[in-house]
Amino acid sequence: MTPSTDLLLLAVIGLNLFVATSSRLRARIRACALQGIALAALPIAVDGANVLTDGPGLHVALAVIATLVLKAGAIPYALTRAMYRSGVRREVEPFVSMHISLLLTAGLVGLAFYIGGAVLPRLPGTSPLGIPAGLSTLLVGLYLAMSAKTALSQVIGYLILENGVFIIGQMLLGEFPLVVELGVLLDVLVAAMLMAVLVVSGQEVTEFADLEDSRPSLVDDTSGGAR
Amino acid sequence: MVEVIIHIVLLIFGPLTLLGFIDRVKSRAARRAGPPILQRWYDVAKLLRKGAVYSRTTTIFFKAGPMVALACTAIAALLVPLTGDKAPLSFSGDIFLFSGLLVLGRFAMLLAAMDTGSAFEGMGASREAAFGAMAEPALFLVLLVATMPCGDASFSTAFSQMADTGGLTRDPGLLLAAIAFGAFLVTDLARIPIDDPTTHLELTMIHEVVVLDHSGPDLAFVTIGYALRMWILSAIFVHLLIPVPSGAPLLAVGTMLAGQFIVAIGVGITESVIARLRMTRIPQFLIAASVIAAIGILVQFLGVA
Repeated sequence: MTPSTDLLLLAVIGLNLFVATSSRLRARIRACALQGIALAALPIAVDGANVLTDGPGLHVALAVIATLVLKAGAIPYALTRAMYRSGVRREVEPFVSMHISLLLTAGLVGLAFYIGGAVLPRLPGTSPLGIPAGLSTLLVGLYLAMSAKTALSQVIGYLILENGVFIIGQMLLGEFPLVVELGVLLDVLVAAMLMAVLVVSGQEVTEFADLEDSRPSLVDDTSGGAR
Repeated sequence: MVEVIIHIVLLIFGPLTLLGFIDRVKSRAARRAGPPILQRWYDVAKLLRKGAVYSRTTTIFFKAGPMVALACTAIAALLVPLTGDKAPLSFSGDIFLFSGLLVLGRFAMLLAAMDTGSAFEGMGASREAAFGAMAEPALFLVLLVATMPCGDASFSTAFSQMADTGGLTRDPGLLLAAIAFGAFLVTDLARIPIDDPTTHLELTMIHEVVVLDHSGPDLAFVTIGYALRMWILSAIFVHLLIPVPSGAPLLAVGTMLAGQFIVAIGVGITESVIARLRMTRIPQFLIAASVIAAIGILVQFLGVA
């Protein structure tokens, strides 16, 4: 296993922390794009540059390019556009404070390391960081999607969750198989959904974007419940 | 023996020059000619020739502050290897003495600041104490990452082990430790993004307001102590990133010096391009540093090779 794989995985974990603590939507989207670049570079780092030319080279090269174009290009672009067009607040207003969010994220990363390092058996020939990095990305993404107040930051959380799935797939299955490519195709779906939901239906977005009001209220407001 | 002499020569001539070099980097980044690199030397020489002014409300604590701080930093400087992987003073557990001395030096300065009875200095002392305390876990986690592989809590053993095994290239946890240590460095030295060393507004100062009342030789001691702190912290930073070769003192000294001046360039450029953090964001910055260092420990536990 090359040190560059470990460094890429560490960068992914670092970006998770950054996304969880950054209060600007724009910075979060950029970090998401950076994570996409790291993911696209992952197969090359794992198997060396000759993976693009040997054996099923075209296969891998296409998958790498698709990842790069979608995760680092199209999706961040669509999100940025949606952010500007829909007029949502560009400051993230989470339900929990940034300090607690940071500590929670750190806890999730620790949990991922515990599960990935102590509980799951380590596959021979893979980076020991692979599963922990993937799991922590998945957990942080889930947490972000849960704690988001607006549709846009929820989508960011979902994208990060998906990145975690991608890493786990990559690490468990070694060579770039069809399953991982399906993951990439799922991204296309997400991108299309984003376009449809957030950009095309410009005016409705403003009403839809604030999830706080669209949630079913557990306490009836009129009956004097705590608000 | 020769190495000890080189170490002490470096400690005498390096720190103030390094500070002057940072000033030069900052002025170049702003397209100014800037003061000469040796300007800090001229300042200190001038201050040492002056008399000190003491307020009538101050006591012995005020006079002792700069001296105790400088002495603590000077002893701490003997624990950090500068010429290869052996420091003049090293024993098992010296990292605890090191961090203890850094804190004791700061404590002496805080007592001196509060001794003046000035509201501004009390405020600055409170901030410096608070942020210093929050940075402490980051320092200890970093030192844990550095010393855990060799099982001996000593700078010299840890760094010679790193030089033997290849350091960063074999242990990605060290990269995280270095990032966290960078955050500790800017906090401890009160540089941007934590504090602006050139600020002129007492309300926003952290470190500068603590030394506001010191004059003459006392201020010279404060400056030298600060420069020495910067020198040894940047040396540790370089050690974390580059496995400094042992056995060849000349090469080691060259590597260390080059590394430290590159750190200085980094500090200067950072200060030229980014603004300081809002005061309320600083705790988050420091928690993040601790979290990053903690992940470094997790990475080491996994045995990434």
